[in-house]
Amino acid sequence: MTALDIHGITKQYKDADTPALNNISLSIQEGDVVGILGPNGAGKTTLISIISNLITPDSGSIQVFDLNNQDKKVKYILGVVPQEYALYFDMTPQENLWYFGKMWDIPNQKLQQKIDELLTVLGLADVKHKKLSTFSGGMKRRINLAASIINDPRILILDEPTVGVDVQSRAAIMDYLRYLNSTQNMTIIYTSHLMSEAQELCDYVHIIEYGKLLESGSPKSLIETHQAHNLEEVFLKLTGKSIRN
Amino acid sequence: MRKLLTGIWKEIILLRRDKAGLGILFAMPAALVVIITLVQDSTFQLMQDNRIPVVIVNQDQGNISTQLIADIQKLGDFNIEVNDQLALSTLENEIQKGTYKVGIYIPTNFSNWINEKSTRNGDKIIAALNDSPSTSSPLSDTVHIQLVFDPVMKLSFRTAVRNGLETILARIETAQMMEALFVDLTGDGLPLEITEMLQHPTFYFEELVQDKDGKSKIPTSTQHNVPAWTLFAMFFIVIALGGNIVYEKNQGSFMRLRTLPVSLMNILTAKVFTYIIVCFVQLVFIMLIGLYIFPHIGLPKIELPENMGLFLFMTFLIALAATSYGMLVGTLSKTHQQAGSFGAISVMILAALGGVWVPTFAMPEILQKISVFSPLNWGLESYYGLFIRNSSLSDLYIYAVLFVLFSVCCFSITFASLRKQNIF
Repeated sequence: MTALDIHGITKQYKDADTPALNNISLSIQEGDVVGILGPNGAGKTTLISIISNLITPDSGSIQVFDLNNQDKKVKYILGVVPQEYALYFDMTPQENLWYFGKMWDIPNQKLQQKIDELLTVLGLADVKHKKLSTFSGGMKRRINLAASIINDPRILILDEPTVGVDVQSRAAIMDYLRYLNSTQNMTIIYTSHLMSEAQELCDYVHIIEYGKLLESGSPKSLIETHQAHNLEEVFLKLTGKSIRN
Repeated sequence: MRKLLTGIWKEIILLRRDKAGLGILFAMPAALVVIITLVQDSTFQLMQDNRIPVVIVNQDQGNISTQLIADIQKLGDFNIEVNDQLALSTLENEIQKGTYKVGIYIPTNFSNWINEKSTRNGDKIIAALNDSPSTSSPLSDTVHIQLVFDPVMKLSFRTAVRNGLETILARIETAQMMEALFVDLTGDGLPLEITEMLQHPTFYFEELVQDKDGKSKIPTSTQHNVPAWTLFAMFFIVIALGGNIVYEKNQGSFMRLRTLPVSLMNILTAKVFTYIIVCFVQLVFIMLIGLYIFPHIGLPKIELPENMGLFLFMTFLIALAATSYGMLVGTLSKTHQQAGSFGAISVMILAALGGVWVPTFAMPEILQKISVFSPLNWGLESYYGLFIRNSSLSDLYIYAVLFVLFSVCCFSITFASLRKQNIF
């Protein structure tokens, strides 16, 4: 079943010379783990924001399962992990998750069970009553993830979920994403700069640059097609080595 | 409703853990209300307890200067020391050193000059009564009493001293002139009863302050300061609330909330409710200080308004205006520092313009005209109406309308700005 059908999405910001996204079309199947890859300024975050309904495109449409993504019910399908720590540092993990969980109208008992489960799986049960301001970057990233999946979304969208985290926290996040995908058939869409991570995690990747879709396929097929050793080589072949701002 | 309550719960947690913010919201206004009231009250006490040290140098030793000194002492406003040995230059040095706050230097020949002046004025009056030209020649030189003030003495105090002396001198001069007239007309001096009559004022003042019900009560420094600083504290929530909004904008939590099934109105209403509650807690806190702490530190106890319903209603509107302003500052600011510094400075300016620091009637005309645009002025007038004048809603409705309009404007700009910033 198609989880997400993106058709002809174009977005031009007011102060930009070129469009951030230029007629992007792609389709994502339910249960897939999909990477949106590209250099800085390629349009990854814009695409994620449009899918998440945070930005309105100039043209094009997005279908989420059988719903148009403008439909209010879509919020109940999507879980969004923003690049920022979108959390309250003066609150504890328990309080943060309780607050966001109540915004989903989850009943108290069920919410508390879910919070306990998430904090245990993400290795944060022991610090559930400590303020986030005392946490490391990796711990905050894990809470950031937990806050986005507390409502058990069918599609999880992650914008650079492992930026600035230690190896252990990255491994914990990746393991949990695989677990969610395998146990709940959760569709995962994520952006990253880390090609090795994408190669390891994704069933499918879309490489975009200057707002255009350059290439799509499984990491294995792309590596074979471009006769490369890994996804990073493919990426550099497609996007070049010039440094982007 | 559950989401709203959860939002209020979250705001209270964040506020409770913001120690610096709590200090600004509670400790600072409490300190200000106590310190400013003590300072104002001690100034009042200083005047009452004759503690302003005044030195009088009498180089004249005539009947008029002796009478003048006796009358100044009767005023009872000063701690007077008469030291006839001081030269004018020495007196100036002593004042400069701060030994005395005020020096009154009566030069030699002062009594003669006043007597001469009174005699000539009497002659002029007799001539005028007889319809004949005055034959008295004008006095040659004017003899001045010199007043030397410590530079720290405020203009209002200097004016009060000068006016007091002028009043005493006018009375003495009138008595002298009457004496001269009497001598001219009868050949005898003034009868004793007329001398006594002239030495004492023929009318007195009873100080009454009129409120709406015609009850007279003298407002104390407490009645002025507690409402004023409560108001100031309520508007100081702009720092905590502005910072709170900037944090949510910059940290991304507003963005996360956009992906959740909750409306912008719900999120902002939770903040408004929370900070209105904070304003009421501030009000109770400062009133409790006025009720229970002030009497223990020698300050008058606050007298609460008789119309408590109207008091709470006006407080709600003031809190709404303060909250809406805090949200506007937070929305328009890009950083926490911007919100904090702009919020604090703008409230200081609005407070100064509103009459919290200095009464508006004492301001230049242009500032008096500007002050009517300050919401703190509306608040202060409302509270003075309630605490001092015993006003009713019909007296204060204009301020109620202004607060509602102000809040609507601030909320509208906040909404529009958040939309423009693509935050909601």
